[in-house]
Amino acid sequence: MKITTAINGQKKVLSVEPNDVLLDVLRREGYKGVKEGCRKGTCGACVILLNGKAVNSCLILAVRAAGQQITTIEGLGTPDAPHPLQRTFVDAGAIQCGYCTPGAMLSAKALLDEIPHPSEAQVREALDGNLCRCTGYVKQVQAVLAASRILKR
Amino acid sequence: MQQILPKLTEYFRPRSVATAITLLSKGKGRRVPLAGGTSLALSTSRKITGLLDLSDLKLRYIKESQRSIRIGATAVMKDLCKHAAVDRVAGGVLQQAAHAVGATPTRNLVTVGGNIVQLFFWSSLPVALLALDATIRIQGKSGRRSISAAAFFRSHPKRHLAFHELVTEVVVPKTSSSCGGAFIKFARTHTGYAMLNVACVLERRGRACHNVRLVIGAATALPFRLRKVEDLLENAPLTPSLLEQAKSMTAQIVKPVADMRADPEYRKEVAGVLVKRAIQEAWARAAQTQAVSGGRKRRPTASRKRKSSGGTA
Repeated sequence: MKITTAINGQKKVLSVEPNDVLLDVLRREGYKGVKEGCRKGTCGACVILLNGKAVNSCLILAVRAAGQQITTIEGLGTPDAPHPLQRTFVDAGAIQCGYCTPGAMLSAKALLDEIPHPSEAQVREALDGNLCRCTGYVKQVQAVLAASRILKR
Repeated sequence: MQQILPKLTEYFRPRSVATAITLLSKGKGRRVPLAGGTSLALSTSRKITGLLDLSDLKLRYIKESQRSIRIGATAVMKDLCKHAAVDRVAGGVLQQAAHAVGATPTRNLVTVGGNIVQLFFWSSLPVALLALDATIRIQGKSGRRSISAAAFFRSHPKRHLAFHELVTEVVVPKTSSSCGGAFIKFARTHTGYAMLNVACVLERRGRACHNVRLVIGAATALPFRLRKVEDLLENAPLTPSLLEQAKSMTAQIVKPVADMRADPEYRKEVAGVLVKRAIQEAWARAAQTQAVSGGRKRRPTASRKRKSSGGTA
């Protein structure tokens, strides 16, 4: 069946089976920034924004994305003009292997869109669904708080 | 990897509950409702041939009336977490239970209806709804019915719900300011699966507890009330020795199962500790609300002003 969605602001018509999982469809369509990790909603590597909310794309049947707005990491900034979160994640050393980064950054974006100046506790809660096995979480939290200060200016 | 829902061929997105029920009826049990979909997206069931997406049924709401809060079946955990009226129920016990579900990206997906119908061993919301004496509203081909949370969770909901029935709403009674509550999830990490869940709701009058409701989950297949412990606490001054009695009585009553997370002996001991903590927290929260609105009538009335603490600064 055909579904129409908007991915990173662009209208997309996708051909999907009723039992296709959104994670697989997005990767098939070339959005390789959506990572496959645990595939059961625990690790957060596959996190995308669905209508601005961070969700695990491995737990969503693709048909449900019909008529919805999807944001993947490809929709955040460009190499020439990175999003503040992309700059602060690099500056803070919050990236090592990078596998969890797209999911963590999108969780952070959902938070900053809703609460532009969050407390540290709010940042930690927003990132609670993204497991990182390299840098740990302190630098990620610092990066999100730094991005919120940039957005303030 | 096994294929997800290998026999799935149909997908429906009805626009009314009536249409949804007709479609479910015609499915003869092979079509199932799709709400948050977090368990269906992992299901390898060969029985399911059709999905009924509930997204367009306008069941994602939280409505406040004089006596109760009505929560639509497709409201998600995150909706409960940030709703002021939900936060005011029994010291925030429902809000705490919603917050105990998974992590942020799953709390944005998991629905109230899905969580109570699936009733996993570790589910938190059913524990809080039992403690709050909530009502579950169900619609099927023969009409609507309402049943108490106690009846709904007496056996697994998937066993007693007919295939053409849909949970449409959960109604939670509002509580008075002298009512406090607490929900405690015990897990290895705060996003992990529960080894135990405990909810306590009580009313504080003077030095004594009244109308105590204590529920324990993730100890056995279904959550249950600790009625003997409730009776022990009823109308008794809450002294340290009474709390110790509640703790040891809980450990005696609970007959937990073993799983990879904890063995029964450990669960028994922890259950006692958590029950004690939950009573203490519920008591402390009742005191706080009493301090804000002390002397008011216990029953909510139309003219009663809403408590305005927190979140409005």
